[in-house]
Amino acid sequence: MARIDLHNIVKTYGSHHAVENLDMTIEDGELLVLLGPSGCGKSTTMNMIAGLTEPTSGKILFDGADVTSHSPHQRNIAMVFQSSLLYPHLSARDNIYMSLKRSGLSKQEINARIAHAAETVDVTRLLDKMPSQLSGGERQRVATAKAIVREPAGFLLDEPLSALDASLRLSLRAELVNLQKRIRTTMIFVTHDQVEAMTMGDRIGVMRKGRLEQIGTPTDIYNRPATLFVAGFVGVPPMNFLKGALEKADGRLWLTNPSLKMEIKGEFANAAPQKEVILGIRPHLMRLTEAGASALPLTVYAIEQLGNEAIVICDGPDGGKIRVVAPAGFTAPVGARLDATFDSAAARLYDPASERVLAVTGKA
Amino acid sequence: MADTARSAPSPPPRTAEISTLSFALIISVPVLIFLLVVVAYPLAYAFYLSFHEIRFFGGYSATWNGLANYSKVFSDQSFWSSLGRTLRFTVETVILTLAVGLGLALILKHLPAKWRWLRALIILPWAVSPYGAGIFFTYLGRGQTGIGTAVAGWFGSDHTVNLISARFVVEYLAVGAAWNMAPLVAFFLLANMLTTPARLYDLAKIDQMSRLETFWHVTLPPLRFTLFVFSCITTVLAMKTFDYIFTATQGGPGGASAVLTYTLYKISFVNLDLGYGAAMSFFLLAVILGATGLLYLLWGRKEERQ
Repeated sequence: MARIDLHNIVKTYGSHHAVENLDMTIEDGELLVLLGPSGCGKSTTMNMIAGLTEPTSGKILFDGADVTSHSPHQRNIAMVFQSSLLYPHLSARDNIYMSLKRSGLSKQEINARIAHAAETVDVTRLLDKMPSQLSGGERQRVATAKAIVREPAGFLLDEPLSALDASLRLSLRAELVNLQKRIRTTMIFVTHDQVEAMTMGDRIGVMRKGRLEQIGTPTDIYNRPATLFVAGFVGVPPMNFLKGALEKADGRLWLTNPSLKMEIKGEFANAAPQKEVILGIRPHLMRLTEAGASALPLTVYAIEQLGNEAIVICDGPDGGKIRVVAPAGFTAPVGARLDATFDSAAARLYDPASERVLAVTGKA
Repeated sequence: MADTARSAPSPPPRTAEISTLSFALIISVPVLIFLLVVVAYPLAYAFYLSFHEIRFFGGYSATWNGLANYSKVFSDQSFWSSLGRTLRFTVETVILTLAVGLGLALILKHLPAKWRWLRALIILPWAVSPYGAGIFFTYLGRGQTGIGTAVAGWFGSDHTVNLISARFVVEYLAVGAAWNMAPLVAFFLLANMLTTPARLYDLAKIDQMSRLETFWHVTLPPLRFTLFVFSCITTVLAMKTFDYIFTATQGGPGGASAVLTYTLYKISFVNLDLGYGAAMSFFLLAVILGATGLLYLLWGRKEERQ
């Protein structure tokens, strides 16, 4: 168990910047999820924490001690790789044993640890099988046993569930979180699946193009996304975006565009007026309503019935798709006119140039 | 389906589809017939010859002499010495070919991106026919023209160094055979190596494996079956090598490289003792089958189970 600090980490491959000026702290015993699309630098970041890749510049600290130039073994980390990599010609037991081979522990101690790790993830009866005889989920458990048997300072997982089918992923997700809380290890989990990130992480670090876009609790990331990218990447169905201008009138702030004029309340009520902004609003916070000045005119494109609710996908006034959550069973013909509205206090405003959330001075 | 077809007013004409088995038979029967003609017939004829004494002088005659040819082989000193040379050549060739092939594959795998084209070039020695390789290695080994003299020259010596000496000619020939065959082995091993996920090497690093352990646990396992297959192929090729040795040394110097195939050639086609040659060739066949069978029992079965 350890607290892990990254100080101004940079990794370049030739002229390609894989990771740029990354600062991040992972608290002792925390489960941090690194989330981002492929090529965003999240795996590179994990490799640097593991000691498999050396950063071009910057420092990595484990419990305050500089480990930047230490090998993976000296850092005492354990790692589970994509598709739960194991040595294919060794039995499950020998795979787990390889983690302790250089530990200097006595044979007795090693056997006891293997037995305990196997029991923790319920693979005792699989110990003498070869990896090729194990199912995807069983391999995942054995790989996890191989990792925890070392009692590591940091437990790194690189998309370990991405090759499994959906239902198995669901149950292993809960199992991993449960395990992490039981053994209280610092855990870093890399994924491109935002549902996985939301459901597993104590905190989520969203990465894009080698930069950390935002780091925070899942609720924070979901409710208060700091950038347009985070807003669009996290959440199902994705956030809706409307273009418009911010104008001051009668001492109040208005979002206007050719089909809408709406007063901005709440957090952004004191934002400075500007010609172009993007308003983001979650589909769950919109509702269908009567036509009116503060209602958004929409045309039905498709309807997805989810059983507990229906998602109405519409063509919005400025060409983009707008999704509105409607009660289960809601139907309307494709091409029908609908109107939707929302509480502007729940919306987020972004600057299209910087792609960041608008600065607000003081609370409204 | 059949019902709808029958009840339809005028079923559209359909070309009958042939079954998988018929298709397999259609494409393989000509090959089987061809093999029967070019392999089974000569084999059967050789079997027939091996029980006869064949004479060409005073008109062709074949006289039945039972197992006399076979028993003569056992007491023939040149058979035993030739067999010894064949085994020596085979063991050396197999070990050298696999070792050089594995070494080449490791080098080719770690080539930096701008040197990757060498991977294609390395196959060239394999493209040289054994006949050509024989001529090539004669010139390379001889005292006047060879590499031995050249290397000695670099160190200021004016000795001629002949690599084709009675004592080491078999080893020298094994080097040439390995040179000819190893690139193909390297090619297949390289293809195998590239299927190993790069992340497995990261796992080995986390487990603090040494270079040797990493090679043993990560690099080698996917290669083992290919290595077994090529040890069989190289064993068979080395035991039946004739053209390469014929052009390189003609069994010399003084019979020092007269392997079994070369001795067979001399008995059958120089001395024209066809019946005796045929009988001895069945001993070669038995040795080849025995060697590959042994390889399978000792090694192949183990790889198969994994």
